[in-house]
Amino acid sequence: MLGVSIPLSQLEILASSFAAIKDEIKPQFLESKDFILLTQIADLVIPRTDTPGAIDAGVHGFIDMMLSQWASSETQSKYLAGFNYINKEAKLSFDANFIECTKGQKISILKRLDIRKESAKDQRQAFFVELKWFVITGYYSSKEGASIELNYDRMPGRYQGCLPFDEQGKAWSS
Amino acid sequence: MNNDFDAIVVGSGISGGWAIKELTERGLKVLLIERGPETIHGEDYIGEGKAPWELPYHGAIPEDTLSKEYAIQKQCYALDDATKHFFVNDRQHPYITDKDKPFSWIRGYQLGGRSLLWYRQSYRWSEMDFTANKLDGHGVDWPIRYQDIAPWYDHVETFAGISGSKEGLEQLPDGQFLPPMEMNCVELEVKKQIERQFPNRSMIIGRCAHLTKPTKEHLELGRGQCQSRDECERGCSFGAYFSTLSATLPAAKRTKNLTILTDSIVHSVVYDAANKRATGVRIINSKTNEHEELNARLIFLCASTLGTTQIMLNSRSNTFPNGIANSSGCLGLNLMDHIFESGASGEYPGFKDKYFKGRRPNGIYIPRYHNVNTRDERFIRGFGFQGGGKRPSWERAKSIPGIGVSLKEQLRKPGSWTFSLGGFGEMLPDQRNRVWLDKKLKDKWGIPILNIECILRENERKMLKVMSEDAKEMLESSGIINVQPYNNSAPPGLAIHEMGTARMGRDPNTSVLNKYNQAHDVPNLFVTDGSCMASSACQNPSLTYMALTARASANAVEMLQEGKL
Ligand SMILES: Cc1cc2nc3c(=O)[nH]c(=O)nc-3n(C[C@H](O)[C@H](O)[C@H](O)COP(=O)(O)OP(=O)(O)OC[C@H]3O[C@@H](n4cnc5c(N)ncnc54)[C@H](O)[C@@H]3O)c2cc1C
Ligand code: SF4
Repeated sequence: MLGVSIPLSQLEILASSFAAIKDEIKPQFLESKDFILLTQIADLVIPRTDTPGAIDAGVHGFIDMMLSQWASSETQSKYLAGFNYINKEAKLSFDANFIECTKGQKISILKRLDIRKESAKDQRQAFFVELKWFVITGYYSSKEGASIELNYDRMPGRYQGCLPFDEQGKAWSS
Repeated sequence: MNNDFDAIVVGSGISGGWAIKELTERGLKVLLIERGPETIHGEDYIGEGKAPWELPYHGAIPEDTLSKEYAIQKQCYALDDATKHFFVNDRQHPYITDKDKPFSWIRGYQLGGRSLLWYRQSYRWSEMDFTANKLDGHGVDWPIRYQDIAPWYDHVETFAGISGSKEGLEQLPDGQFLPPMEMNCVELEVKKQIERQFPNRSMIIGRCAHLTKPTKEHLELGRGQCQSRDECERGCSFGAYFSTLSATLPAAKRTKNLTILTDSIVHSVVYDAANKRATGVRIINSKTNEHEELNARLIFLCASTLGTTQIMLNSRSNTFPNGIANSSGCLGLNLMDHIFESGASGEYPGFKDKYFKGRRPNGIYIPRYHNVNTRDERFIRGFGFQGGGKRPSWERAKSIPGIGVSLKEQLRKPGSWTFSLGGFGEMLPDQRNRVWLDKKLKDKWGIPILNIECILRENERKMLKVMSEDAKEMLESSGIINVQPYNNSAPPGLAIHEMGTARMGRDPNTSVLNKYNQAHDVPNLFVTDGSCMASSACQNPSLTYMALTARASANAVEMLQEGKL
């Protein structure tokens, strides 16, 4: 956290969502309540630290765009249903929609859903694992994730197979 | 169209590219006919040099397009939003297989064919490969031996630019190599262990068609040094990997002897029974549907294995009711691919303080070792492995739980080194594996579409099993942990090394082509793509198509000049 706290009582998005609010991404596909939910989940999966987080990278807008333009209608329905699952999960545990839960509650919901894909037992877990992967791929293929958080080398030149890791310090994004 | 050509070359992929180069450089006026559109080197490499965030959908193909237009092609690892224009649209280019006998026909119809898309692994065949049929009785004896093709391997390697290391291996002869690429720490370690513990096995750096150090000849064609970007299938405007567009096409163009006709589908070869010669080809303009006949003294079919076979089967006349040059009845039979999707992978626990730089467009290779010096009781012939070591990046998040700061911090570092080996094995020629024209169904240009039937049989299945067992054993004895063997038999075709349906042979009764890739039945008809192959060996085949094409071209010109054609 950057020590900034933004009073967004109704949304209660974390500080790292600052960029999103600033840019005011208008969703193309999702209704605003689902878009807020997506935004909050993206933020919880990859928060802003000393480097940009998922929201800074526009991952919420990216996923909304992908759902609008890239996804098949089956995938679109799956995501709409999936956001409902997450709300159901929140209602069951905390008697509120996901976006109305406290940060701690949200994290506990996501941790419960965050199971390795192969061992996902129900649709809710399976959906979350897929959504999480969408956030991760969206982030690490974005400019912020790929070239600020990690290293990106457009034109490497010669391949060198065995260098001290410290020379790089972080992972290549591709 | 001016009809005054010495030769017509059908298809502009790896084989056709070599045919136009060799024929034009020997002074022939050549017409190249390509069914796909023109591709412009550089300009049409739309995704080249772009970072993922600069590509639409970060490079992913919209789901509906993928399932509707690329139902087959999507099985190929190289298909993405920046390469899809180099793959056929499956809806427009159908073929038929039995539901439970799938065959994946991966194709690119454009100027340059699949030379734009290939992974560029380039290995010589050895004497063992050319004598295998004769020794164990599968298929027919090759009409050539290693020494017939060796000088042509030299020739094509020098021009194409093949990076590799000299190893002195009998089963994988050395060639004219540019400097080898580097192995990483784990690969060097695994190599050491494998070679120490398995005395007849070796692990070498892959041999690939990349300019690690361009020669004057390469530079003169406008080609340059490879930059280790590993996004070659999008096209490379440095011309740093071998393709028709980077190499053979500019070489042919500068002779001023080349005419190119794109968007023109060869329907069939025209046969003149009186003179016992092919006189030309019938073409269909893919856009206007106009038909035309074009003539030349020599016809070279290089439309890829199944493309050429389809043209030949469709070239019917009173003399050849079942396809031109098919008096043997072998045309369309003995389809082969390589068997793969069997191997193992695992993690290497050490070298955590080491990392690599650059995206090497190449891996390592373990040349065949079964049935080389000793006889294996379980199967005949053999397989090699491709593979390599790397440190996975954020993509490993797919299988690790966690969210938030800790996940992000974990992914900022690369994962442990991993190492994988995947086999490529020889498939035996078997006449039950075959293609034929459908009696009823035609494509939108009225050309009968292909039926394909090709399945793995006993020898292949045994080999696949041993592949994954061997891979596991080698990895485990090299200090790799958590070794996961796999054996998911991929549909034939997916190794994209389809070959064999118009084979070469000594006997006109059991083969279509002679030792110079010349049709036994039609002396001025030459077939030099993968359809000519009498066996499949286990090495990636395109370098051999190049050498056979260059050899056949040189020979055809000689025969022409001597008045023998
Ligand atoms: C992703 C991928 C990776 C590969 N990796 C390797 C590798 O590492 N090593 C290796 O050795 N091989 C590899 N291959 C295989 C290699 O690409 C082929 O073996 C090679 O391209 C065959 O050359 P060709 O000229 O016979 O056919 P192609 O390159 O397919 O060219 C045939 C041309 O003929 C045209 N054509 C077809 N029908 C007609 C017609 N009726 N009329 C006019 N024109 C026609 C086509 O449009 C095409 O341009 C790979 C292939 C792919 C797709
Ligand atoms: S890796 Fe080499 S050949 Fe491939 S695109 Fe980059 S520069 Fe070109």
